[in-house]
Amino acid sequence: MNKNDTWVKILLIGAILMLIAQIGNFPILLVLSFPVVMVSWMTLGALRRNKVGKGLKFSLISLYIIWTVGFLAMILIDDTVFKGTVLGFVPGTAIMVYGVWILPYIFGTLVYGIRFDEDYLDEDDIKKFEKEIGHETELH
Amino acid sequence: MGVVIGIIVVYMLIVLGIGFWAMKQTKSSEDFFVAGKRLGIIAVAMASFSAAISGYVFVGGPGLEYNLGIGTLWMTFPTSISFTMAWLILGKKMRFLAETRDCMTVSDAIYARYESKGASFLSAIASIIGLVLYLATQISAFAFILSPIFNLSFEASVVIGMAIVLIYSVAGGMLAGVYTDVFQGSIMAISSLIVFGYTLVHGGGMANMTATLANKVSPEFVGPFGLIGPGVAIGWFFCLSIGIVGQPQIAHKFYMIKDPKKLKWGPALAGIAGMMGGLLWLGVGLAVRYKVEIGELAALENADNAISIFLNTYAPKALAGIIYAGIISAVMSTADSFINLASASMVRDIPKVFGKELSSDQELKYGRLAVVLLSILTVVVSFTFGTKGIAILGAFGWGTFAAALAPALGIGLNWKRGTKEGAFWSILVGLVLNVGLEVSKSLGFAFYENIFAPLKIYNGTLTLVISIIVYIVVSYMTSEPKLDSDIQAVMDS
Repeated sequence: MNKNDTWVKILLIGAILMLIAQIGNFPILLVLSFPVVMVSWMTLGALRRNKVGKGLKFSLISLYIIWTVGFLAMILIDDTVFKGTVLGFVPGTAIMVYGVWILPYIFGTLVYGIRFDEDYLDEDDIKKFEKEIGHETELH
Repeated sequence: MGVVIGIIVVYMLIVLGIGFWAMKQTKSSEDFFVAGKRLGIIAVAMASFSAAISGYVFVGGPGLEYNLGIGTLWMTFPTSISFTMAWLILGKKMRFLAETRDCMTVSDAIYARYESKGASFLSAIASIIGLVLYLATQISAFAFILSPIFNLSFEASVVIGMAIVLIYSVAGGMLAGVYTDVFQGSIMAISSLIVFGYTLVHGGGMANMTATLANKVSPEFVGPFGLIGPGVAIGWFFCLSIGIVGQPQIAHKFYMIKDPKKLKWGPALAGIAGMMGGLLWLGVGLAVRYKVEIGELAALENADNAISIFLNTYAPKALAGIIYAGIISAVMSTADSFINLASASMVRDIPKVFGKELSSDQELKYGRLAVVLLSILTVVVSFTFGTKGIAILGAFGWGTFAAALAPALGIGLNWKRGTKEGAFWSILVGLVLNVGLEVSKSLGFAFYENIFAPLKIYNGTLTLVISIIVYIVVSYMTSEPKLDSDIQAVMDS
């Protein structure tokens, strides 16, 4: 079974839920649906030979958790009354800055770089591509 | 002011020197539009960082935060992950595509994937509209920096700024923009960090600014959604993150990279530079508002002056000079990339749809003419929208690209079932809906005020989501495409 088809269907469901959330003004539904769209779209890019490598799988699951939990926490924390600061910011903003801003760099961006050869592109992929198109390229 | 102007002059001479060197290297349309497809990863990463932020972040960001609070940072916080999204979803596919087809623009990729003249034509139109909006953002940012230094009106500064960019772009093409980006992008990233330090010192620390602004403005102002509310904030985060796969100024840079294995550390480099730029947005907007609230500064007549007021009042003259020069050159190189991309759409993509292909020499000649026409259009848009908020104008351009191009390109290169009909309708719906809603919002049309304004959402996100749905649903409703073997190989990679 082609996993790209499955992830496109998940992406479609996420997008429909996002549309309902925006038109109906349901912030919680928006928080629950937008990470589905982002992660399923990234998964489409991460799929290689019909599977996602271990490192990228860990990265995508981490991102889904960071976005869903982070935004839910920010929505649920009452920011209409000032109750002091955590590391320079009100609690919701501290989650925004230290959680939703910085953690994806570590769990998404750095993991992509570290696992690039194993999970995304190596010399064999280039040779396979050249074989399929029937000529050598300047990719080496 | 003498020190500031002196530094600007020296800095600009270096930038112009790089541009002159690039001009000598520009011998073909491939050099002009895709930097000869011979760049290394630092050049591609820094050029992507600069294309994604520049004047929009350094001038528009602090201004928006000054007015609406910390929630505006959702426009810049995606940089920690958005480059990874672009690299993961598009990087390999676009680079491999350039090996099998003669691709220089995003419309070329759309045509190669779908073999649809209609979809390719619409993507060229979307590119021109979005790029002119972005250009206007850059030129307006330029004008906001230039006018207080030289005591000029906004309009005069727009015309001068556009003229400088025009000369630079006509001469140097894409090579000039990319190599200048490496120089100025690195300096701007480091300078942003230093400016952030100054904002903390002059604001008495982040906790002090937060507490003061919570008491004097409102607790929501320093909360995670600021005064914009969660609907718009989440919308910005979503569209400015995943919407990156619809940005031609990012996507076409993958054609330029020489060795695809060097795609490895691009997002890490571009992401860290983008995050440093985000610190400037965070610090300057808060510090200036803090100084206004404690009575040390007068309230700003135009919030986009926040960066110049902070630098003139609190930063050492040398640092102010470097930042000003950095912003000006950032604007120049980014505008150069945008203007060359838009001219590529005009002289390459649109004639191709009508069965006319120009020679490399003709593309170069007419490309330079198109640059002049686009400059005039940009000046008109800058006069109309430039003073209404630079970040908002930038978000308009970004949203247009995301809604029109992201599904056809970002899903289409990763899903063989996507059809040309799906691509055509998603580009059409995304483009018309986004431009229609944004223009209606700007002009205050009653239907927008009654139906869309109460939803409190970002139009770019709404239209991107609709465009995704249209692309997938129409693709399922139409026959499965038969792809050429080389396109299948690209998609299987």
